Amino acid sequence: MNKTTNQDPVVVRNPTPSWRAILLCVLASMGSAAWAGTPLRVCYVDDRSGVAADTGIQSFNGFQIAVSEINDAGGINGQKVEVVSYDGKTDPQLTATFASRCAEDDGALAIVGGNPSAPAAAMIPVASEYEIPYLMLSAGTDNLTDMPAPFHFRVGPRNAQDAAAIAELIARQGFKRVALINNSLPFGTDSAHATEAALKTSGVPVVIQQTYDINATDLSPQIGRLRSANPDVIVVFPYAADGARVLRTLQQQGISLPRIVARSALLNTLRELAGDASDGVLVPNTVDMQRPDVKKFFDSYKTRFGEAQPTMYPVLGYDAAKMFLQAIADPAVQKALAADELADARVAIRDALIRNGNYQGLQGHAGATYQFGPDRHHGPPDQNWFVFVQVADKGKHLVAADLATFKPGS
Amino acid sequence: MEQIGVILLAGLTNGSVYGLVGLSISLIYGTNRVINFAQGEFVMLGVMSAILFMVTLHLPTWAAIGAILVVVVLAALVLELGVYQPLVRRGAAPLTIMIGTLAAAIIATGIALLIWGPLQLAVPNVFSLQALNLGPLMTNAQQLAIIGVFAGLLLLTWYLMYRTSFGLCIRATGVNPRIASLMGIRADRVVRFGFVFSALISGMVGILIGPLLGGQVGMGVTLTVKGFMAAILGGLGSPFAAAAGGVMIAVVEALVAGYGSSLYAEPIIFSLILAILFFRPYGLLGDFEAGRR
Repeated sequence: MNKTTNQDPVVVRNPTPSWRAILLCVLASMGSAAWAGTPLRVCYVDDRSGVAADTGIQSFNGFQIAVSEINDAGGINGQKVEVVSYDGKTDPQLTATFASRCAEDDGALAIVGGNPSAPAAAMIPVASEYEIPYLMLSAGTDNLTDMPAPFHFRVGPRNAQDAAAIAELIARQGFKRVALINNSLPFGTDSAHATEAALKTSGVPVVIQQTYDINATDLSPQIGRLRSANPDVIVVFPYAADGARVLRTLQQQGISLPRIVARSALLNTLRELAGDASDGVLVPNTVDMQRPDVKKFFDSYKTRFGEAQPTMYPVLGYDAAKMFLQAIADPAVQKALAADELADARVAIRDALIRNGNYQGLQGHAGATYQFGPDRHHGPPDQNWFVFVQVADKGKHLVAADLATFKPGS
Repeated sequence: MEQIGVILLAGLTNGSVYGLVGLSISLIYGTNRVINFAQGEFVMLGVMSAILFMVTLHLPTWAAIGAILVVVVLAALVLELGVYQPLVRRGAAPLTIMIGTLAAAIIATGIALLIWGPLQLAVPNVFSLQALNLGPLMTNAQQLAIIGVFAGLLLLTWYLMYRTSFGLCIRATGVNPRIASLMGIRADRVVRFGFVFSALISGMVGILIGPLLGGQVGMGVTLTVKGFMAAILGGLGSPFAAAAGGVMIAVVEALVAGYGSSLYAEPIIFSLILAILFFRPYGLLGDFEAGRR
């Protein structure tokens, strides 16, 4: 477990039962008015040291900003929110163990986390078994929130939504011959299939689809076949390092066609490794920097954690925390908390998340809201959610996409 | 024709990496009959040390390469003196020693995590990454260097093993360390040489593949698996067979990718390995090497 110790009001701890008992006795004997039953504790479980560490770290930073904001404002009904954080290292089994610990030992009211799909999926049975609300982040595998989803919700877009957004852009920009290239991991293959299906619906043919091994040092065979198919746009579904290799090989082979890279290009790593080979690439994102509230959030982020490019990952952590915090302020939740009924409080939080299902967060275009409901635990809607960004300055920055020049033959 | 050329070049490039890791695993196995599950971590150390010496400390390239090789040699000595020798002295079975090397790999990854953090990092290139035309084929100097180093190290290993008296000692120790000791061979020194030489090879692999794969502290496991597959396919115990196994795996991967989809490459390769092992349980060239001994 990683224990974060910082000077902000976010307390990260994992007290032993004996300490909790002592604390209870002391508070009870004092008859303190400050005592408000069940502590407001939330668990953050995500990969912060494995292959998807970029996403987990950024989301956790966003999450901490939201918790700090509420604690700085006096907490919820005078009670501060405590955070217990675990690093699941992209290991599904370890992640599930930590989720169980959150539910059983830590007495958390909810679990937030889950950027890579496999560990995110591993926490779903835990959430269902312990009946603890679980807000997963960018895990994109489509069926994760298919019903029944008794206690888990998804804050980030699913792969099919990325695919639909990419297909819609390709059709709108007038491309007629699409080449898809993806790694052989589930993210790559699922996304490519979803995009192929979405393009078919839009009436745009896929002229070639190539898959490569994530650890191959030479991707010339796949890129050579792409070139021979004579596409007018190339769409890549990679992880970070292999995505850079695809872009470098395209550059090396003198292929300067318009390129779209999946959300993995939002991560600094891919762009740093690709350098100028990533310039001009379009990336689907869910953060609109034209929105003042989004800009303000990234200013806060920069002040506290250093500069971050405007990507969905910090925002996902922030929005998930805000939704959870709004839910625990709900009267039904407060009543259960005052009665020290943890199980009832968790159920009430789940119900409050559904009741507040049209929450307006920082993802999407201005005015777009999440769409959680009794039969829909996947938040992002299909419309007004995606904002394409473009890579610039040798991969260093993400800027607003120049769609006027992103055309066939450009 | 051009397509097959591209595929074979890609296979040779990737195969050189797998082959070098397989050769490293096989070198240690050849001296003590233990599979070193920390072999990929030597590569990882090479990659991450390149970041330390070239990016953080801004050492000149050749000084950085020297420093990287010193780091991997020290790591090899720590593994040999801190894990292998204590377990051997206590009479541990080879399987126990293998688990010891696995534990060392996990510890090494943890230490690297503390030093370099969890993120995938860019590694400076020693050779140019600019496109280079070889007739109809296109590659770059870094990829050609991988093939060149592979060929050079194969030649060096062959010379060492078959043209020097020390090579004879290595082979004798591999066949039976006890009898080799009775013949006056310092088997412990031969084993130590195996660790150090294989770590040097892996460190060089790290320097060469870092700019292409990027550096991440968890990258060692996959490389160990590929190297192990190469060694099993070619014939464990023979460095050259392991190297050939690596090239074969990568060429099959490239053929499957070029004419089909990489999605099916691993199942096809594992089926192939299984089929070959049914008929040649010691690997493709295992018997040949056994005969040479």
